[in-house]
Parts: sequence; structure tokens; C-alpha cells
Amino acid sequence: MPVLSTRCKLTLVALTAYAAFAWYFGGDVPGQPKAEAQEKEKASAEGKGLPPMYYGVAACANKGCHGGPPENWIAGKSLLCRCIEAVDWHTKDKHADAFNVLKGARGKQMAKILGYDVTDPKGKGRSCLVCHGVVIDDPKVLAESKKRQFKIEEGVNCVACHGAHAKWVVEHSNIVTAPDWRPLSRAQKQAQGGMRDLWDPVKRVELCVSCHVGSVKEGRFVTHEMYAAGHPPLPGFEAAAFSDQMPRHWQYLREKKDPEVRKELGYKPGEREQAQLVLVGAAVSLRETMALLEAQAKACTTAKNDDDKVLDYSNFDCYACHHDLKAPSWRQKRGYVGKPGRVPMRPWSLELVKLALVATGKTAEQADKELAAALQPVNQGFDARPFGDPERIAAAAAKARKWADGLARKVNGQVVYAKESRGLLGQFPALYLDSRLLDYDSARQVGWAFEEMFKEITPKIDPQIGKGMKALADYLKLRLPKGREKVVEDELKESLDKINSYDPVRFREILGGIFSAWSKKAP
Amino acid sequence: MRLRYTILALSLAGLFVVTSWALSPRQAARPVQPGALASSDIPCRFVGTASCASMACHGANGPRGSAGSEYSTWIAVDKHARAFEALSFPESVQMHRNLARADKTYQKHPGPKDNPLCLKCHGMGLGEGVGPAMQADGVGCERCHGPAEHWKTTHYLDGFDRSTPGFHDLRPLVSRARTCTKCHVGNADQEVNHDLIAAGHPRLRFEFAAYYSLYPRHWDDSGDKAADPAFEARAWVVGQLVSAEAALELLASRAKDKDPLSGEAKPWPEFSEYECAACHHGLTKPSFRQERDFERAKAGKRFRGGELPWGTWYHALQPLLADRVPGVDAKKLAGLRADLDANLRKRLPPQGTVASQARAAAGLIRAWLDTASRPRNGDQALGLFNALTEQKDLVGSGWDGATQVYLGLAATHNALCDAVPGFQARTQLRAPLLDMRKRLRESFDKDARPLYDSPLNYDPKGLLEDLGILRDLPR
Repeated sequence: MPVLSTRCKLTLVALTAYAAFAWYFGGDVPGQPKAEAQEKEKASAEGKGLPPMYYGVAACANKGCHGGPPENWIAGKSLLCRCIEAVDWHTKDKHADAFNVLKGARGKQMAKILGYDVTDPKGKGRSCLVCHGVVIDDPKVLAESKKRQFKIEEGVNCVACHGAHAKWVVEHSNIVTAPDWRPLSRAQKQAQGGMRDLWDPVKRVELCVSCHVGSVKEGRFVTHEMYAAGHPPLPGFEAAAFSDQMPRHWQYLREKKDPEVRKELGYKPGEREQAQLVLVGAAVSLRETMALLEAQAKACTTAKNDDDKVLDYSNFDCYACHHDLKAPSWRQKRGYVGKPGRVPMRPWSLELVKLALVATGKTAEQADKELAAALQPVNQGFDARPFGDPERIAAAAAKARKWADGLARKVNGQVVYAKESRGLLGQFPALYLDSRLLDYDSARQVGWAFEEMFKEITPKIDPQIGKGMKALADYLKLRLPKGREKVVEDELKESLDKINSYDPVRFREILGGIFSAWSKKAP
Repeated sequence: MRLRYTILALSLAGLFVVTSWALSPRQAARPVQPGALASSDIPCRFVGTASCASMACHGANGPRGSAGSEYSTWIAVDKHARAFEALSFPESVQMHRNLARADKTYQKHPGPKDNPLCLKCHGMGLGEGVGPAMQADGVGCERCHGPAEHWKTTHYLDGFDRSTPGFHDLRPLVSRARTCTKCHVGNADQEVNHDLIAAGHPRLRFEFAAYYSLYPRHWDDSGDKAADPAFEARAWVVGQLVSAEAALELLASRAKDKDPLSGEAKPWPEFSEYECAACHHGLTKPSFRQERDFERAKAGKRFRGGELPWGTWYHALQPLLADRVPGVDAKKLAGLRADLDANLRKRLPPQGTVASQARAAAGLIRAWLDTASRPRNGDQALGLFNALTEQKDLVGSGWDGATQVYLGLAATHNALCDAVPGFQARTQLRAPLLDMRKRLRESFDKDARPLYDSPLNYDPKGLLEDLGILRDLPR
């Protein structure tokens, strides 16, 4: 039997002791520290360093808080909120059904096809629940949150958007702390209390598109596999229209009655917030689309598996492939950005960026050229070969993301008044009625932007224009399934039929009709 | 308006096959001589279609298909004579414009009539002696029969040597089929890829037996049928194998070769290798695909959503053929096919592996054709027909698979009617076959404008019922 030297024995003892120490105090306890790290990562979006806490809706929905106005309120002091937010969310907002739909017929069918439980946050269902609910990875946080009425069944609940931290939830509602909380600025409330500053259009859109476009960082991404198993297609996102149809449980600042509250929240008299949201939303949607592309394309370049060396199909324009073949074909008549037969990126996030560029002082033609130049390398990456060249796409998308971020900041720093908004609307024909034919998703962006901006500056809409707008809304199905009584599933057939029968020439006719009626009315 | 839709009519060729191949009465026959393609080592010039067209030779203006009126038949009723004309259609010009926008190779040419890529199939090709004027002949005599420099003045003499340089001996059925597949399937040098299809070219969807049956033949084929009463079954087997061989060679070239005109790597993955309708379908509710996947999932099968199904047209029936037609190592072929299938379903199929597997499979099929191209008797035709009635998975898989099964059934049924006296009268097989044809036809919405070129109404239910009836009916 070999004899170990003393030095050897000492080394062994030391190693064992170190291993035990490391295991007990700092080592990898499977799942838990990773979960904690994940939790912190999620929390760092707002309120850096604050411990996460996920309240249930019940914590917010008290009468006197957001479940109905208080019977008494401090004399001479206005409320910032409407007090009916939780009621609106509960009675009208589809976000409250985000989890429930997973248990519906389609959710069950998808679960069977995909072969995993779509409602299990610990398994593969996590990839569903990051959007369809709130995933809490850390068991301690989960246990504490459950004590505060957290239920995953509530879907996308209050704190999912407003910030999952105890500090602000307690301090803004507690009668003792509220007087100190209220005077804090929006930025302070976010930094010190973890209350996400959703009055900032950039932050608001960022939050929406983290699900409605996707976010690799958050693990939110509808894969082609999910679509093929039955997930309804994600429509292109337009922040102002989607907010209105949510329906939003908040007011635009101009809708606040009390001038003091308007001032307190940073309202600039006369500003057109919907128009602003359209413009900021466009730039942020493009930025996040590029960020998503960048992250996924980068992952492809280091993938070992042949299947993962190509971008997930959901990064491509769905309807570039998914259309019935027709003759004559408007796609062939329109021509292609690059080589025919190569699958391009999803196009909808580009269209309103042109409008945002015009808002920064560019002409329609300049806007068109600048956008084309910014996106050309991305398009070339997609065009390089069927399913694109991930390496080129990753590099090009990173640049385009930075460009879009610059634009978002610039637009967010400007104020849009009625005059500017009207001027932008006047550019629609130059931007969207030129010789090009728009695809359905892009046309819808234009339709939504027009509706939001036009309604905002037009108290009484001329019947002729109104007729055109109704035709546009019908043709593009600009009305999303309404409220909680209708889920996406209920109108899915109709929505898909609209896409299948879409003809860009008809869209131009309708939009053109609106503008000719408008020019007669207000030359 | 008629001209406007002409190209569409071409694009619906696959559908046309299904719609028009009548289960017609069979004709009498004449024997066939074996032979081989002539050597092409010696340079041979094309002399032009006009050289064949004199009244004393092939332009007698006699009845369609009669001896001496080959040219007359071709020029009057054969679409090959209009192949070049198609390049002037507005759709073709638009297609060329779409391709030229981002491709220097196309920018060199003002339009499709000047583009060598197009002329390879739509004109007299790029062979020696072919000038611009000759291209207007479209697919003229020599494109199939071979450049005539060395045989123009001798081919009508007694004792003509059929191996004369340039002469293509089209008597062997395999040679005949290979002549078609050069353009109708494609090869390394001339192919219709997805870039072309997206720009506006109709998809190629060739099935030899059906095309052959529909083709306005400028020769008397009664000899074929007399020597081989079950000729249509043989034509179907030969057509399946020759097309698969050509498709596999093309696949190997797509995976490895550079484009002969641009010198750049060919597009990869090449989408036209896959079933068009797998991607090209409008999204609908209800979706037969999701229902199908749901049923499969309930049966414990793995979900393959988003995988592109490969080989649904040219390779769909290979397992059946390997099982029923001797002359190939069925296990080896099945192994290669499974490997190819697995590799091609990957999002980025490994090019080198695919190329070598495709070449190996093509080689097996080439060797198989030595015995597989022999005449089949009535029993063998019935065996094929019966085996086809068992293909319910294929019929349920999509329009491509269902149509291949139908075309096989129709060909073998025709062969049985020809080879077995009284077969048609004593069986009830014709009605369900016609119903299948109707259903496949109605998969395309023919009343819609714009016209559809994808089987958006494909529904496997009725087709599967027909297949069940065909399987159970007495023979």
C-alpha cells in the first residue's frame, strides 16, 4: 500500500476543507444562486440593488387605492392616479388573461404538440410564462411574494410593468410614508424605490416590446416552433394604438384635470403625447428588433448544432413565406429589396421610423434614404444566402440598434405640438403613397399611426374622412380583439383572412382617398 | 387577358397533369429496340429546326403525330415550340427585372431573351452553331434529338448508325426520360432554383408518365404499347427513377458547386428542394397542419414543426419502388435516403455530406435502372397499384405526396386496363380515382382572382377515403 507523505496528506485535508467550505458558504447550490442571480438581473432594470418582491393584484386593488376612489382624500391635494386602474385591468385588459389562455383549448393543443407543460415555470413552460405571467425563479422571493397575494394565474399583473419591489409599493401607499414619497421626481422614484418610470415614452415602449417584439435578455421570444404549434402570429407593435386598445388604464397627461398634477408629472402644455408615442415607439421598436436580431445572430455564430447555425425562423418576415402563391403576384410586381427568394427580416418596424426621421427635420426623401442606408448592411446580411449570414447580421444589427437608439433619444427630447403633428400627417402621402407597395404589417403601422395622430389633433372628424378611416380600419383590421370578453383566439380566423387577402393596391386607394378628402377640407 | 394568364397556365403544369390525364382507352403497339445515348466527345454543330421542316422530310402537314409530319405537329401543338416566346411575356420581363436588381449576372443582359441562363431551356441552348436567330425556335428538334451536323444527311437512310456523333437515340425509354429531365428537373448546368421561382418562374414539378401521356407526341407510339402492354406502368417506374436520379445529381451540385454563370457558390440551403406548400400557405384557422401535428403528438410522435420537408415530390415513392421493383439494395438506398432526409431537415444542412450522400443515392438508382426499365407484366402492375393504395401517410402528408400517389395509381391503372383484358369493365376503380383527381384539382381555388398557384384547399380527409375505397375494392 503506498504511503502518502505528510505534505500530501496536509494538501488533501486542506483541499477537502476548502471544498466543504466553498460548498457550504459560496459554492453552487444547484438552482438557487442561479435563481437569485436571475432575480437580481431582472430587478436591475429599475431600482438597482433593491430586493425584488412580486405583489399580487389584490395588494393594489383595494378600494381607495386602485380599486376605486377613496371616500376621503386630503383636502386641496390632487390624486396622481385615477384609482380605477386595477378595475380597468381586471375588467377590460387582456393582460389579465395572459395566463388563462395557456389553459384554453389552443394552449392545451400547443402543450400537447410541443410536448411540455406550458404552465410550468420550472420546466420549458418558463419560456411561455415569461410573457404570459410572471416568473419568479428564487424560491425565497416566491414564498415571500405568495404571502403578498402573488398568483401566477393573474398573468401580466401590476408589478410586472410597474416594478416588482416592495419599497415603492409600500412607500407610495402607506399613509405615513406617502407624503415623503410623493414629492420625489419620477427618476428618484425609479432609482430609490424601484417604481418603473412609465411616463417616459422610451421606457414604456421598451417595456411593451420586451414581450411584443421579444428580448433575449429576458428570455422572451416566440420561436417558430411555438408558432408552428399554434401560437397566433405576433402583430407588428404600434405603441400608441396598442395602448389605446389595451385599453389603457392611465391617462395621457393632458387628460389630467388638475394643472398642478400635470406640472408635477412634467406635462408641457400643448404637447401631443400620442404623436410623440408613435414616433418614439417607432424608434424603440426598431432598436429592440435590432437588439433581438443581434443577440440571436451572435448565438448562431458560435453554435455547434447545424440547426442553431441559422437564425430562428421567427426572425424572418412571416408572410414572405407564409402566403398562398398567386398569379399575378403583388410581391413579384413590387420586386424585392435584394435577391428574390431570400427571406428578409420582419419589415413592420421600419415604416414609422421614416416618420420619426421626418420629425427630426428630414424631408421624406432624406428620411427614406437615411433609413435605407442604416438598414442596408442588415438587409445584405439577410440577402447573402437563404436564411441569411448570422455573422454579418449580428454586426450590422448592432450598428442599426445604436442608430435607432440615437433616433429614439433625439425624438424623445423633442416636443410634438399640434402644428408639428399636422405637418407630419401631411408627409404621409410622400412617405407612404409613393410607388412602393407596402406589406400588410407595414401598412397596419401606417394605419395605426394615422389614426392616433389624426384623432389627437382633430376634435371633430369630417364625415368623408371618417368614412375613409373606417374603411382603412376594416381593411387592415386596425381594431384589436376588444377587452376581456374577446381573446385573440376569437378573431384569429378573421385576422388571418385579412392577411391572406391583403392587396397593397387597395390599401393605397383607401389611404389616398383619406388624404384627398383631407386636402379638400383643409388645403 | 388570355396572354396574361398564359404563364400561369404553364405554372399550373403540375395541376394540369392531374386535371387532364384522362384514363383513356389504350392503343395498339409496335416493338422497341434497345439502345444507348450516342457519344458526345466529337464536336457537333446545331443546324437549326428549319433544316428538318421541309415537306419531304418532317413538315408534311399530315395528321397530328403521323410519319413525315413531326415538325408540323411540333410547330402546331407542341408548347416546346413556344418556349422562347414565353421569354417575351410581361411576366418574364418582370421576373428578369426582379433578378437583375441585386445580381450582376442578370444586369449584363437586357432581358430574358438575351440571358444564356434562360436560353438553356427556353431556346436552342448554348451549343455550337446556335446563333441568336436560332433561339427563336424554342425547344426545337435538335434539343432532344441531338445536334444534327453529322447525321442530318444520313439519318433517313437504311442502316443508319444510331451511334453517329451528336445523334441522341431516344428509343430506349430511359434516354427519353433523361432528355426531359435535363430541363424539367434540371441539372448542374441549368436549373430553376428558389431565387428564380420567387422572381416569377413557375415551380418545376415533373412526373414523366403523366407528362408523356399528355404530350402531343409527334411520333407513333403504338409500337411501344404492342411490345409492352403494361407500358404505362413501366413509364411510371422509369420516370420515377430517372427523375429521382436527376434530382439527386442536382441536389449534389446545389450543395457543392459554383453557379456556372456567376462563378459564385449556389444558394444553400436551396429552398426548391423542399415542399413549396410547407412554407407557402396562408396562415389559417382551422389549420390542418396543426390538427395533423396534434394527432401525431397524441400518438406519441415527435413534433417536427418548422422542419422543411425534403423530397416530397421526386423522392416520395422511392421506398415503395425499392420494395416492389427488384434491382437495388433496398436497405442501402433506404439508409442513404434517411440520412439525406435527416440532414436536409436541419436548418443548415451540411453541404459536403449531403453532396456525397446524394451522389451515392443517384448512383444506386442509375444502376437499378438496368433492370427496373424492363417491361412489367399485368401482375407486376397490379402489385404496384395495390402497394400505392396503402400509401395513406403520404396522401395525408400534403398535396405533393397525395398527387404523386394519385399519378402512380393512374399510371398503373392505365397499364392494367391495357394489359389485362376486361380489367376496366369488371373493376370499379375508375370512379374513386376520378374523385381523387377532382379533389387534388379543387385544392387550387380556380375561381379566385388573382389565381392561386398553391393548394390552399388541400384537405386529406376525402382523399384518404378514396384511397381506402381503392384498397378495398375487388380487383
